[in-house]
Amino acid sequence: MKPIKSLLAKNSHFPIFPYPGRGKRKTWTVHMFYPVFALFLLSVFSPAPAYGVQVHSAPEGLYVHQMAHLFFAGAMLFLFIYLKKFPLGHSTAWRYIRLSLFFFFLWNINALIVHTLEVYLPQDAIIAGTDFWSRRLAPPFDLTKWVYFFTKHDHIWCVPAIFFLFFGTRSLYRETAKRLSDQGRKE
Amino acid sequence: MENGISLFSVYLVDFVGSSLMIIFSLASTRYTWGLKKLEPKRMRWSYLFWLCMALTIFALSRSIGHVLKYFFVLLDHQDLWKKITPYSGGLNTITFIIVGILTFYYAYMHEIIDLFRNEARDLANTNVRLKEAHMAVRQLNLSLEQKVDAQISSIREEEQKYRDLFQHSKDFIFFCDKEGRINDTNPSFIEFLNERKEDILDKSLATFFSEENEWNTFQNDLFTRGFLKDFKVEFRTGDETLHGLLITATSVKDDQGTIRGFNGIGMELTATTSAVVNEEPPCETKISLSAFAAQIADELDNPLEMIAGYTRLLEKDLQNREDGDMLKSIRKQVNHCLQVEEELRETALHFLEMTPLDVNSCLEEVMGLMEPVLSLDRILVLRNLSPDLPLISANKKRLSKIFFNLINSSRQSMDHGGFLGIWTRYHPDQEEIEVIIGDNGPQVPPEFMEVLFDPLPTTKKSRGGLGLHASLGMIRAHDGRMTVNSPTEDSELIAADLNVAFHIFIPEIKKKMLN
Repeated sequence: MKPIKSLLAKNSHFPIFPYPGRGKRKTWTVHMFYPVFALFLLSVFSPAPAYGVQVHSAPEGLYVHQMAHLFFAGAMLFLFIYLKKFPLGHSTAWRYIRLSLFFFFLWNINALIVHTLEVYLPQDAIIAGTDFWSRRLAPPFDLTKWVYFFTKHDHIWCVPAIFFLFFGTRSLYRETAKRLSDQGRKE
Repeated sequence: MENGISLFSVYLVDFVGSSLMIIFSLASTRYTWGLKKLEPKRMRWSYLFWLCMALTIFALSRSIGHVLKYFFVLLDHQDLWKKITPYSGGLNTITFIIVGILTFYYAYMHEIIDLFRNEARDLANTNVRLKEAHMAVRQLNLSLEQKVDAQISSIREEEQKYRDLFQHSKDFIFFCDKEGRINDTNPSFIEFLNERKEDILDKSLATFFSEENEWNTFQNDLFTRGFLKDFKVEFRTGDETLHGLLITATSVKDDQGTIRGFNGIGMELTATTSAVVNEEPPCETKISLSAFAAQIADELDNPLEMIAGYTRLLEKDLQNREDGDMLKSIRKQVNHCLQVEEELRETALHFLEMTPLDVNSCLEEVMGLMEPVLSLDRILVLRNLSPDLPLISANKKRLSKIFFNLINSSRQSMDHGGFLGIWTRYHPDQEEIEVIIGDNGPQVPPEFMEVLFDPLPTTKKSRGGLGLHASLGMIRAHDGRMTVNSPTEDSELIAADLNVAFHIFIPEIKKKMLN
C-alpha cells in the first residue's frame, strides 16, 4: 500500500482523520476533532475582516523561547514518569537515562528562571568593564541578583544531564552487544 | 563585593560546559547509532537514536552558539555575534520543540510496540499451529497408506472366509432375483440338484418345487414377512427324484425398500433331520416352569394347612356366634386356595422330568437325612430293602419328597418313640415295585381312613392332611398308587408290630416304556 493511502486508511496507525477503529471506545481527541475542524472551516470562510499578516513584536521571541522551555521541561518530566511506570528495563543504563531526563527537566526550569530574571533586572545591573571578560554584577545585591548569578551557571544541570545520557546509551550498547554475543555463542 | 561580582565564572562554566555538551551528545548519538545497528529491528533503539539526535542537535545548536560567542569576543567581532545570536536562539527553540514532540511521541510508540508485539505473538502462535497441522497431515499421509493396506488385507480375509463358507458349506446357499431366478449358488446345491451350473443359473427356483402351490406359498410368505424360517418343501432334482428340503430365506431390499430378490440356505431333510424337525422340541422351559409351580405348591402347603387348622379350631370355639360365618368364609377361601394349589401341582406333575431311578438308593439318601432326627426322637428304624429291585422311571426329587413326607408324618405320630419300618418289594407279576413305610404309632381311626388323602387337613395325631394328599398326587404322576393300612394286614408287618403302613406301588421302568 502506498504511504498516502495508508495514512487515509481507517485502520492506519497514523490516520489523518481520527477514527476510533472497530470495537474501540472513542477518545476525546476523536470527539473533539470534527467540531474543531468545523470551527476552522467557519473561520476560513467567515465574512468578518481578517488580519492576514500578524505583526511580531520584539518580546515574542522570548515568549516563544520560554514556552519552548516549558514544553521541553514537560516532555522530560513526562518521559521520566512514564519510564518509571512502564520501565523498559531495570538495568543501570535505564537508571542513567531517567536521571538524564530529570536533569534536563531541572535545566529547563533553571533556564526559565534565568530568562525571566534577565527581563526584570535593571539596565545597570551589569557593569561593563574594560573588556567582555571584566563584566560584573553591580551592587547592591538582593535575592534577585543572587538567584540570577547562580542560575546563570546553568551548565551545572545540563552537563550532568548529557553526561548521564552518554553513560546510559553506552551501558545499553554494551549490554546489548554482550547479550547478542552470548546468544550467538549459544547458537 | 563593593565593585560587584565578576561574571567570569559564568563565562568559564558556560564555555567548558558547552564543550562537554558537544562531546557527550555526539558520543551518545554514536552509541545509539551502534544500538540501532546491533538490533535494527528493535524499534526502541530507533526511537532512542532519534531522541539522542534531537538532543545532540539541541546541544550543538546551543553549545556551538555559546562557544562561537567567545571566539567572536576574543576576535573582537562582537557585532557579528549580535547578528548571529537570534538565529542561534531560534534554532535552539526549534530543537526544544522537536525534542519535546519526540518525547511525547514515545507513549504512542510504546502502544505501537505493544501492538506489533501482540501481532508478532499471534503470528508466532499461528506459525506453531501451522507447523503442528503440517506435522499431523504428514503423519496422516504416512499412516494412511498403512491403514488402507491393513483395511484391504482385513477385507480380503473376511472375503476369503465368506468365500470358503460359500464354497465348502454342505448346506445349500443360493441367491435369486425377485422373480425367483437363481443368480448364484454354491457347489453343494448344484450337486444336490444334479445339474450343471450353467443350466441352473437364470433358472427359476420354482421349477424345482414339486408342488406349484408350495412355491406360491413360499414366495408370498417370504415377500410378505421378509423372511422364512424352516420352510419344508419337496424338491424335484435333475434325475426326477423327490427330496425333502428345509429352507430359511430372507428377502433383499434396496434403499427405497423395494424387493430386489432373496437369498436362502437350504438343508436336505434326511430321515434323522426329518424326525428332529417333526418331533416336538424338548420342552425345557415347560419342565422348568413345572418345577417352579411344584415348588410354589410345596411352599404353600404348610401355611395353608395352618390357616385351615386354626380356622377349624376357631369354628369349634365360636360355634354359636355370628363371627362363625366369617370363619366359614375364611375356610371357603382356604379351600379355594387349596384347589388352586392342587391344580398347580397337577399341572406341574405333567411335566416332571423322569429318569431311571433305583428306589433303594433314593430311600437310603432320605434316611441318611432323617436318621439323626429320628434317633433324637428315640425312633428305631427297621429296614428290609429288596436287593433285586428293578429301576423305575421317576423324578428323584419328587419321590424323595414323598418319602420324606411319609417318614415325617410317622415321626410326628410317635410322641414317645417307637419303630419305623421301611420295606421294598418287587412284584414281578404286576411288574411294579412296592415301598412300605409304616410305624407303631397310634392307629388311624376308622372314620379318618376314608378322608385320609383328602386335601382338607387333619390333626397330625390322626395323620393325613395336605402332605398325604400332595404325595398321592405325585405318586399318581408316576403312574403309581398309594394305599394305607391301619391296622396292618400283612403278616410281616404285624410281626414287626407296625400299626400303620403306607403302601406305594410304582411300575418298573420296562413296563412303562412298553406302554
